[in-house]
Amino acid sequence: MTTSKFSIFGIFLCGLIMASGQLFLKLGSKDLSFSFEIIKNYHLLLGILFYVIAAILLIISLKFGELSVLYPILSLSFVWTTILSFTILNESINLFKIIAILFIVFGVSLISKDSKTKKKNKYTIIENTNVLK
Amino acid sequence: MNTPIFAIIGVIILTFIDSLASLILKLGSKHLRLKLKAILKNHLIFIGIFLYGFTAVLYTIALKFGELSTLFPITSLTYMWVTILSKKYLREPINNSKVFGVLFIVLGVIFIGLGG
Repeated sequence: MTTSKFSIFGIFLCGLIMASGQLFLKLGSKDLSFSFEIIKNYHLLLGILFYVIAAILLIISLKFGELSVLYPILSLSFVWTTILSFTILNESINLFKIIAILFIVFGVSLISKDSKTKKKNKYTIIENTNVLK
Repeated sequence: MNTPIFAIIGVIILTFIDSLASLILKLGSKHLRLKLKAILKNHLIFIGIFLYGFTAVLYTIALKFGELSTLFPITSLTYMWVTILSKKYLREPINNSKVFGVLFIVLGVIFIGLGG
């Protein structure tokens, strides 16, 4: 099984949509009430809608790639969340969070870069040996 | 506020269930067709989505008993479980870049917890 560029981009987008959904849920949680008024809480509804879109995108993307490559890319949603809460919610950012972003981005780039360069030679050999078994 | 040990163990178990959900979704996506009938018959996809929702609810409950800065970094264990499950059940090749990639992601999430 190889991982297509399309599916990597799909998961990348999925992380961004999840982080945006979280942002809307946070905005919606401010005026959360457990009455009929809840259907007027547009932020909350938008947050849930974003999560549904992200789930659909996730499932479609998973079809076209390896789970061990695609799933870790989802961790970029942490990066987006940190950036969005700093820029839009005016939450604080510190050295720890900046180091965290760098680590996660580096980790993701290691995993996604590897899937492109080695898939032709190494993976096909492994797939062929599986067929022989 | 201290984080009780049962909340920590609970969240560790939740990360494992979360990774199982991803594995089940991946297996379900194999038979994915853009026809309503086929989607409704695809039980694996529904089980996967249900497990995601289930863990999300339980995680929220766990947060009531413990600190976010302690429990949040633990959720990064999901990436480790997913890598192990992909090798075991999907026979995906695991190489150094995947191992180190996941390691850096886990470190990154721990740093977010420290900065929070």
